This record gives sequence, C-alpha cells and structure tokens, in this order.
Amino acid sequence: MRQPLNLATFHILLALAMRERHGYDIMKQVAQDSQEAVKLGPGTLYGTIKKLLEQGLIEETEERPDPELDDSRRRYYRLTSPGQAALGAELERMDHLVHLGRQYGINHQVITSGFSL
Amino acid sequence: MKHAPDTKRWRRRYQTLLQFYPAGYRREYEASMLQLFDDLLRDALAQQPESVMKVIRHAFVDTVVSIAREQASALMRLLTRRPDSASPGLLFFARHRTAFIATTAALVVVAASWLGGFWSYSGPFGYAQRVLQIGIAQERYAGNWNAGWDDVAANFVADYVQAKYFNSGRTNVGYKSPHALKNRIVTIEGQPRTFGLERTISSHYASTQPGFDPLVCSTEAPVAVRYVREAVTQPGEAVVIAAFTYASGGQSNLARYALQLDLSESAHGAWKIADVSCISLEARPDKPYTSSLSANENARRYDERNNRDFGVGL
Repeated sequence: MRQPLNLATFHILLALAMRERHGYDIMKQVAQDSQEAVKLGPGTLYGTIKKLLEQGLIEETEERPDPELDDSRRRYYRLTSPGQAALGAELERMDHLVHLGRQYGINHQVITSGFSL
Repeated sequence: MKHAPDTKRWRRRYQTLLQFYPAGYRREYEASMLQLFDDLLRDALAQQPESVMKVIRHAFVDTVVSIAREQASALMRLLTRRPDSASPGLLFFARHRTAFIATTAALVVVAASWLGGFWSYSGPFGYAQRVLQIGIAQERYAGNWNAGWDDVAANFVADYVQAKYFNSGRTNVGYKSPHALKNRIVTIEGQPRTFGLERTISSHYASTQPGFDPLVCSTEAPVAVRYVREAVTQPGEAVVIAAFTYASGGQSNLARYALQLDLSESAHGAWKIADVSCISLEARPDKPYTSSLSANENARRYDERNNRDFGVGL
C-alpha cells in the first residue's frame, strides 16, 4: 500500500490539480486551500518540488511570465499521470478515514461541542 | 522592482544564504527561490507592511532547515556512491542524520550571519516610517537654566536620533509628519512650559527634519506614553521611539518599561513599536555627551552606557 503523502507534498499536488502553476502561485494556493494553516517557505516548496520532479509526480512546463505579476519569466509545473494517481489515492485514504470517524460517531458538531473520547 | 531600502539589504542576505545549498541544487533553484523571496516581500509591503519582518524570518528559517536537509542528502548520495572515501567523522554523521542536520543548520546560520550581517539588525522591524521623540523631564530640573542641560538635551536628541536612525538608513526618510511644520514641541498638561524647554528646543529644530515628529514632553513617562499611543501614531505604521529623560537611572528604567509595555498596542490596534531607544541625560561635566564629538560617537557612547546600565540600547 502506498505511503501517506506528507503535508507539503499533498498540498502541492492538490494545488496543481486544477491547472499548472509557478512556485509563488503554488505557495499562495496552498495557503488558501489550507485556510492559512499550511504556509510553505521557499526552502520547503522547492525542496518538495525537486523531490516530486525526481519521483515523476510533477513535470516542468514552459517558462513564461505571469500576467498578474511582473514580466519576469517563471517556471511552471503541472501534475503528471502518476502524480494524479498519487493525489487520488491520498484523497481516497483521507475519505476512508473520514468515513471511519463518522462510523465511530465523531462528527463536526460533536467535536466543536467539546466532546472527547 | 523597487524595494524599500531595508528590503534590499535583506534580499542580499537571502542571496548570501542561498549560496550554502549544494551546487547542483543552487544551479536549478537559486533564481526561482530568489524570485519567490522578492514576490513575498512585494506582497507583504503592499498588503501588510508590519508583517514584512515576520515574512523574512519565516523565509530565512525555512531556508536554513532546507539547506541542512539538502546538504545531508548530498552527503548521503556521496557516501552511497563512494563509501570507502568517507572518514570516520563523516560516517558518524551519515549514520546520525539528525546530528548532521542540526550541526549543518548551526554552521549555516553562523556563516550566513557573518557574511550577511544578519545580526546587525536590531528590533522587530528593519525600518520605520516615523521617529517619535519623547522627552521626560523631572520636576526638580525646573529653573536649572544655568546648567545648560536643555541645550544638551535638545542637541543630543537631534544628533542621536539622526545618527542612530537616519544615517544608518533604518528609517524611510521620505516620510514627513504633518505635525512637523506646525508644532515643534507638543506638551502634555502644560508642565514642560514651566521649564522653557520648548523655546530652547524650538530653536534647534529650525529646519524640518523629515520623519521627525514633534518632541513630546512630559514630566511623567506614563503621561507621555498615553499621549503617543492615543494621539500621535497612525494605523499600520512601524515607529521608532527615541526617548530621552533628563533623570537618574530609575527614571530611565521607568521610561523604558513604560514604552515597551504600554505601547505594544495602540488605540488603533494596528501599529507596533519598531524600536525603542531610551537615553538618560544629565548635565554634569563628567557625562560622556559633548557637542564637540560627532553625533555617531555620542550615540555609540550612550549605547555602551545604556547597555551596561539598563540593558537597553541598539
């Protein structure tokens, strides 16, 4: 069975699920997706991108400027098929855990009301 | 891309830090990481200027850890390819990856500090938009005109603050307070008027100094503090407080603590103290301040003394 993805890897793959992005765009999307709970620094971001490139889960596309930012050329990345499969597998795993939680009687209302096991 | 002066310095430091990555990693990602750093600073300056240092700190710490991790990986790859070439020390670190990462991170921080002047910055912000000057004078000095302490105080504040903040490039000198042209001295509850301090200091502020707010005077530190908090500051600004008190060490401490504690939140709730400098002045001949010395030398001497006596200083 596939190992769970770490937080940075998961969020980067998720950010690339919709469309290809450059580094700063990935960083902002991750912050938005996680509601500011996950903030990637430059070192973590590019360290993870390097690993994902080596594993073949993402690939680099053409360099081009971002129309919303300045004119500098930026390196864009996108998910590969294996990357999509890995992300899909991780979401399935999380879905299974949520389902388990509901089976145990844990739901959002219970948690926010301070119930503890 | 235009940067405020201080962000240029941080950008250079960040570029220095990136040199500690393994060569291969640097070739691939140095430019992208520097571009990302520029993007982070640009957005922080545009949206939340008071968060700039937080953004910088996060980027630096994250990058230091990443450097250690990448160096550890590079070492592991080297050892895997040529195990016979490793010394016992390297083999130890290869087996104890945590120790290697921690040691590398520490070495990177020290080296980057030395190369990039990381620790030359003091205070939570790299630059400030306003310099608020606060004068706190005790009642007992009323009428002491012959001592010349009022001239000393006025000159010192101008020289000290000029040397400390403007000459070192720590403030955005483009800012000009709307108050500066009108009221050179702002008094609280009328008390300093009995000293005639404002007349003397007015003559030393003949030319408007950009970024200087009017001198706020009071006989009590908490009163001055309250005034600064409620009346002088603008939301969202980083400010430098340069306070002088013509008093003994006890009064200086009071001023220092009052400023540090009471001004951590403003009535606006949006600005923070960029820096606090509290100087004690006494008009005795044996005191180190003298107008014959340069402003920088006076500032340096007072910093030494404040560091020794009160644990403050920059």
